[in-house]
Amino acid sequence: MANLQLQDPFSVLKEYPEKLTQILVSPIYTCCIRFSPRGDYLAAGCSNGAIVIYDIDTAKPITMLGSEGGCHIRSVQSLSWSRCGRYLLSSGRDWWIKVWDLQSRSRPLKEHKFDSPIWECHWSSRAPWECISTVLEKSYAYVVDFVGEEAIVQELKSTLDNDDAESLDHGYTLVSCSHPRFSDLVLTGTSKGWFKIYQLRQDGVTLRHCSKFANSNTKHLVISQSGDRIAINSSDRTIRQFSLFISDDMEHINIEIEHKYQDVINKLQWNSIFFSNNSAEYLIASTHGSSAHDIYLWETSSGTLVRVLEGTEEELLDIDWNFYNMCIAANGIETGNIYIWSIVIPPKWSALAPDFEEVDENIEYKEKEDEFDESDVLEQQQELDEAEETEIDLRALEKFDVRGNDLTMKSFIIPIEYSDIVMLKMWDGAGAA
Amino acid sequence: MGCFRLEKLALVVPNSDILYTAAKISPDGRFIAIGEDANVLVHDLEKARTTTYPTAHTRPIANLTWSPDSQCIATACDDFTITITHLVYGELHRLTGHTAPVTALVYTPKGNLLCSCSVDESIKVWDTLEGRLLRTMSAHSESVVSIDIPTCDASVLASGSYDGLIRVFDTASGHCLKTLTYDKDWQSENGVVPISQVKFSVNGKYLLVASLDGIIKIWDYLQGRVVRTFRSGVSSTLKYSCGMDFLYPADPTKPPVVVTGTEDGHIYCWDAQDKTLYQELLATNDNSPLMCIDCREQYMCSLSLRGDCRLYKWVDDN
Repeated sequence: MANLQLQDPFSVLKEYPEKLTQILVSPIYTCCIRFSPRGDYLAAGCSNGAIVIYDIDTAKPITMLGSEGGCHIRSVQSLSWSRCGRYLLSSGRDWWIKVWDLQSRSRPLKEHKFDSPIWECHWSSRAPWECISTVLEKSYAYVVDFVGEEAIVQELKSTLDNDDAESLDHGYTLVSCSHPRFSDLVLTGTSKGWFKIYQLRQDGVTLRHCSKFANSNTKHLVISQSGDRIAINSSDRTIRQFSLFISDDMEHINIEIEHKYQDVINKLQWNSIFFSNNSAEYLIASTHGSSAHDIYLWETSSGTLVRVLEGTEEELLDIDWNFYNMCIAANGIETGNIYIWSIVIPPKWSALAPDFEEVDENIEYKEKEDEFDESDVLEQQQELDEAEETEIDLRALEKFDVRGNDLTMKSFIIPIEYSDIVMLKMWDGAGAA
Repeated sequence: MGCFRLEKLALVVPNSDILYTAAKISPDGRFIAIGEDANVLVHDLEKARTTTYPTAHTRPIANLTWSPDSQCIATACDDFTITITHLVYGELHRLTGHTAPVTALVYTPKGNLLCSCSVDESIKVWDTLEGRLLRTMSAHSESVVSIDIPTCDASVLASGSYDGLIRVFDTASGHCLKTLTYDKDWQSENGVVPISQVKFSVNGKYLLVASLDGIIKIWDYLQGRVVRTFRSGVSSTLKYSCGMDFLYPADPTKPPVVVTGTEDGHIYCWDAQDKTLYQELLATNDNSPLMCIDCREQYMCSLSLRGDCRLYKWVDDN
């Protein structure tokens, strides 16, 4: 985006936000939050089953999904945006997973009911309309394909699992995520501290890796954008960070522990975790317990705590980090409000005139040898003439922004619901009268 | 190469007591909206029918713009206010806050924000859902007469003012990011050269700028230098802010066209790459200034001060 090209590059290229800049007020308790792919909207799943979408530009809610029915009737557990930003996947404790088309959002586009509450559900990176879901007290995750009229559900289980199951109990599968580079790989974590990698293929599911990392519940599993680092948050109050190596033929998979993060003083659990972009130089986590109100930020290479994001007065639950607008969002457990930290770029006074320059201290003016030479004027004219002949491209769009984010995917614009504006106006008018 | 062919003549029957300043093609290409006193005339191109939308304005409409979804028309008025009118639901908002006539408007590509500029020297950003003022940018020292936001990038806003400055703002923070002036000697003996129109290229990397000395320039605003200069022959002090726009021929290998209007009712079309004059045509019967030029896909709508509104289509030569 052009504004980033005109701002101080050192501020623009900061790797993480530092300042609490926005609070999105929510009248309902929020359970989970997700930015749209380009970071211009934020979806919030609420404890009463509602899904509200906020516009980040105005910091106001713009729409609620399911105005004509079909929304969740218990708390929303997870949200996932499709890459194009048009379809939103939600899962709830009411046993349903639903696909919403934001073009016409008064009813869900597609839905499927499991026979117990859903832990989480996310779009798979392998195929459009395919998603991976984990369900309460089930040994395996599920692959749900929404491509047809009826959802096709398949257990994410290989023949190897069957043999293993007799000798070893791996517990229930609680979390999952897709590998960003190898789109047919799905990583899962279980209630007994097992980490597995499955490969999804036309001819079936293969278990590529299985190892035990702890003796407790897996709470979260995140993978870096580059796919070579993972972090697992488990209920033993520890976040474990691993390096992940996968050979191109997937024959060799190697995971090695890099760091363990614990709160040594308060001995708190971590509510949620998230990686920074690219190769995940940073890891952030929100803390459990009413006394802690901050987000911790560690450097993943050294494992040291580098920053604490402050400013809220309540415990924080879910977190999300968008790399287009470089904002971190987290929702409060008491009010349901959503807090947003962003990079604040100070105004540049030198921008107010073309020949202003910002200097740290006074500089005594000395005329340069050739500053007012006439020949220089000629040269300048030549330069101007040259600029008039160099080819210019008025059509081609930028492919990447200065932070390296892909701009080729057009972001979906949620249509404005004008009847809502009219209704609100009538409401206000009636109130005034 | 190519040229404009006349498609439709006299889209409105001009009222001789009224001065016309704004005509815009809707983003979906179905309608043309024309400001006529305090009313908006919407001409349906398919059905060849004109509907009148009255507004709450008490003075003539100076400028108007379509929302990106083609459902609403925002009008800037001499009575210091802005209205947003929906084609089906009628008036949605009346925005008050400017302290002098409002001169131009532009929507962000999402349609969630409307930006306005005014003779009161400020630029204001409004939330279109609630009709709420979000922020004011005051960095000019004369009337701000033209603003634009690229259709592909809502992060920047360009403004042109009678103080002779072109400024680029950050839409989200309201900070000024860059200032462009007419060369170094922007303050000549006759005072500054007022800027009359600004328009981004479709990729948001260049800025087309017209000034009241009759010169049109393309700026590389990131580098802060002029990359093309066009002179329409009559280089003098102009009185009217005549329209101009870019047109992008359907064939992507053909260079874009710079289309500008003049005070005597002519339209000039230049090759934006090598600056050759493609075409010069008379677009009015009354020789009044061409106040508005609006290009959308292959179509161009022109409007003269006396209300002669025409639709042209660009035809590529083979």
